[in-house]
Amino acid sequence: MIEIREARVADLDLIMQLEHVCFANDAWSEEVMRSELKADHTYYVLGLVNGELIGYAGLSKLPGSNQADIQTIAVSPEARGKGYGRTLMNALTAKANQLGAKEIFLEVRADNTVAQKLYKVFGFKRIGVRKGYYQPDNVDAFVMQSNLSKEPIVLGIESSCDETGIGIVRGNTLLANVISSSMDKHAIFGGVVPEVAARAHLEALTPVLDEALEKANLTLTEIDAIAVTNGPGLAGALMVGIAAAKALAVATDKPIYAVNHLVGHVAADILAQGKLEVPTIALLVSGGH
Amino acid sequence: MITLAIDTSFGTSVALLQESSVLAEVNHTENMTHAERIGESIEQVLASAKLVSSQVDRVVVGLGPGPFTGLRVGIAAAKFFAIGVNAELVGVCSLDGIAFNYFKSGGQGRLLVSTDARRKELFWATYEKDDELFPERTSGPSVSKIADVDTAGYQTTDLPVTASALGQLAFSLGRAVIRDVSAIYLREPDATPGKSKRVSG
Ligand SMILES: [Zn+2]
Repeated sequence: MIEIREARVADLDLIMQLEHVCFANDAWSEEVMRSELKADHTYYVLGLVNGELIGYAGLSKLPGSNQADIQTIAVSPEARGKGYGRTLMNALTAKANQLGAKEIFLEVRADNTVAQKLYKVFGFKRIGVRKGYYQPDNVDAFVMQSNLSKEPIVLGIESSCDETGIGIVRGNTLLANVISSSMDKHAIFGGVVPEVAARAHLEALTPVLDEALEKANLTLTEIDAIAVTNGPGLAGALMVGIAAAKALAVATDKPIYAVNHLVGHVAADILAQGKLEVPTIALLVSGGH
Repeated sequence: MITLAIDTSFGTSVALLQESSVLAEVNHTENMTHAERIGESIEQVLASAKLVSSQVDRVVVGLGPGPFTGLRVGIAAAKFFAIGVNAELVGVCSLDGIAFNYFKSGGQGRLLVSTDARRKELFWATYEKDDELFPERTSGPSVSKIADVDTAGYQTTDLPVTASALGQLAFSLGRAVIRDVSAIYLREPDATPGKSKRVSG
């Protein structure tokens, strides 16, 4: 499974090794890569499999602009064809969305049909050609553009067990995920005590909501819908989240969606990995998941 | 000032008030349907008063005592409704609402209010009427064995708590603003410390 994390300047050597493998004739210089990693308006991510670097990708988005550029995307030859490029692209488009970009641009080698196919999946269309852009190979670049559609912002409330969780997503992009756990309060009883959990939920509701909105940098008026776990779980605990969600929906005049907790576990994977491949079997071990 | 008042210490009671006059009220007396009723009850009082949520300036909620699971439904709803419309949130002891209804309906003398606390116990508090006919709590709220609650010298009442009573009380007595209101439980969670073990969701 691929792990995505933001790149740091300390990763420069590793990145440059892969840069030379992936772009034999038109690799960036170390200086260029260093300044990209350092810049405030860029966002670089690494893809790691078993701790080993298999790819990286970078985005540029100037403050105040509603356009973002995909600077580069590289996947090591041995790791290709496994959907890792997609995961990297997911991370970049999610970031572009989060930064408020309305459209993304990129250049791709005219002879790299594999990459072009990937970009099309993300809604990119060819809008121009730059003649002889890639030197010394003298290969044209296709300029591609994608509109980031306005995806709904949903605030989710979870209180089925001992954790009060409030998450905010824009489409499949996670904007905030705040959790308050009452685990410490249960430990002396040797297991989750429903009444202890329910009391903790009631106390945690407001601070968790405040923190989630702050992390997502949103106000309630910008939320499009509210979702809440409606089970399975501890009845008394669930009711705290459900009552809060219903009242919030009426107060803000937003639609409310009830979500099965187990389906929520599957959806968490979509946030991390992108679209679910079907058929998929999900196994949940109650109390152990 | 528009007040939304909520109490789920017994059934589900939701009221909408302008100053101290009641514009609409919904009372569901069954005590197992709080989570099902709360959202629709708020919608109902808004609709019948022809108001929209954003016109609510203040949310008043009954803090109990009462059966915990139902009680929390009203408090959780009040908290998030208040945040959702940016209204102030205040809590009132639910037993005060019963005393208010008693004196308002002409009740006289010293009053002992009690409600079922299950396990052969009662939640209770005592009241006297102040100069303006509002209840003044003289003891409680407490929880005691039924046999230990001495009603000698006190009037008692079967009147229920209503959200409108809490709304009127909060308006007339100008309770202090408490943003993070807490339930009045009066009882520790029913669990005994056991072998320590990791728990997680
Ligand atoms: Zn779970």
